[in-house]
Amino acid sequence: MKNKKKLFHWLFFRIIITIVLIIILGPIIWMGLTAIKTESQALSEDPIWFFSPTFDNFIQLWTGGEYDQQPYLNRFLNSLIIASITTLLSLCIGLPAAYSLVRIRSRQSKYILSIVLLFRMFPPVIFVIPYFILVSRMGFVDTYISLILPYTALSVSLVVWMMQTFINQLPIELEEAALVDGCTRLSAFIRVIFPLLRPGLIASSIFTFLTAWNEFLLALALTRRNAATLPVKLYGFIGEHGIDWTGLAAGSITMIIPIFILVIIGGRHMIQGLSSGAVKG
Amino acid sequence: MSAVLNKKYQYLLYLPLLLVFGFTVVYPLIYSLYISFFSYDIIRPDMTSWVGLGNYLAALSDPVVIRATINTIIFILISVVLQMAVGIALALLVHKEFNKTNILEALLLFPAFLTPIAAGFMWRWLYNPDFGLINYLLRLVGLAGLNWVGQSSTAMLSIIIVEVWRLFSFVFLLTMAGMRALPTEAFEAALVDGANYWQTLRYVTFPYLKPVLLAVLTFRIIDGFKAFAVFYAITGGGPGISTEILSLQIFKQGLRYFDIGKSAATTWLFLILLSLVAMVLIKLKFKEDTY
Repeated sequence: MKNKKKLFHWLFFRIIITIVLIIILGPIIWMGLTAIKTESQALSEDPIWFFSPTFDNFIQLWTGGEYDQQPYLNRFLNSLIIASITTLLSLCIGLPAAYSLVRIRSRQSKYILSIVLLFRMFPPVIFVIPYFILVSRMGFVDTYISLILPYTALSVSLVVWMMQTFINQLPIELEEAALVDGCTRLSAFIRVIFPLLRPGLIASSIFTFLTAWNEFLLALALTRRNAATLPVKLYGFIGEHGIDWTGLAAGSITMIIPIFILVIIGGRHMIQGLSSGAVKG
Repeated sequence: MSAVLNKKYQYLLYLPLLLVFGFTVVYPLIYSLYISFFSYDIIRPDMTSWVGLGNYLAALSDPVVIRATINTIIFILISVVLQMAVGIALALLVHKEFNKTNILEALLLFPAFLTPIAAGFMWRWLYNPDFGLINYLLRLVGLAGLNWVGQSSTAMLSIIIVEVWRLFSFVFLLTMAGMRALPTEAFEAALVDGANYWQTLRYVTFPYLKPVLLAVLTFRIIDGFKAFAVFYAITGGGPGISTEILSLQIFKQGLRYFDIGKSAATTWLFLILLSLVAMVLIKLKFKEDTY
């Protein structure tokens, strides 16, 4: 009787999870299949499930036609550079800030932390108009810096908020003991605290990187021919005569592979970061 | 014993943060408030003239802005309710078996971190009336296909489905995290008292989960205001103005029609709406905390 019930639970769980995974991954897999089809195979009324895959779409993507004004490779590098610098900058600004704000414990530092939380809620669209005008006036349109600064502003509050929940979990006695043992303040932080913050650092780096990697609105508003990123390039697959579906599919799949790798590597830390903010905050 | 932070220099550690906020958040916001009172000429900024509340009146009397406001509210309301419902229901269904399955958790999280514009195109492809998989599946079971995003009656629904697909796993994973932290004694007591499944749910599980669910709800609603790319990829606001939302309007007024002043005014109307919603949510949380 009990075994039967257990078996039922086991089966039920697996059926539910399978259905959820099909729903979650189905659209992505279907885009992946479209990416390795020829155009006529993709545009078939009854979907073709079995076919010999072609990698022409990917080759076309990376080598580009000679008429391609916006080569994918260039957009890929732009995205990579902008997202990497944004991540580095956000951590360099966010980590010391989070550390000091947690350890100072004054009324003022609590006030700043609540402003950080407030800024985290701001939707990027409220900055489109002022950024557009200010960036044009300063002559920064279509440069890396015109995206790196806004992206840093958008993600630094996330870094501070996430890191402060992780730092809060560490007792201050750790540093005090290190100071007694003859560490300087800096080496106490680097040798004692920093290693313990690894999960938080991994989580917030991935969040920051992906925020910049995925951002579309500001990139669309602030870049033209030189500094445009991959999301803008994807939108460019909508042509005058309709959408180049196979090219778009190849472009989308290429751009989400790094995301997939990061989520698989850091998923555990990301969930921990998200839930320590929500469950305890 | 010396303090962990040097009293003299501790402010230097968060000074860069304040500088970044000042330059990239506070100043731009004040600047947009300033230009919302002007008729701003993008070609000749020196021709800019004071119009008082003119931009606000223009925005408020624009039927497209009004429709966009209503759509924004409808979109957030329905998509958040569905995300919460699907996420919580799934958590209740599988929480007993779901442990130490990290790859599974990561896979569930994947759509949430997928590039929104790519996710939008994926679904636009699925929704395609001629070659889309969804209509094919409908035909397989003998139903007529729909022109999902091409007709105003189903366009908003189609986008809401995409958002629920993208984001319900947030609710699911955080609810699971909350459930793992539940005190087992309460459940044992309920069992001893002979409470059935629904009574336990109603009187034990939910009261304990309420703070977590409220926090998740707050973030889901606030995130709903950030929606842009999925709309832009799937419908761009159409057909007609059936999926027009405020963030699309702000973008289009400013960067397509170059009506900078009106766009700045719409930005501030949008911020006011957001603040009102945030205030209600904070009040809810405050009420929760005083119990």
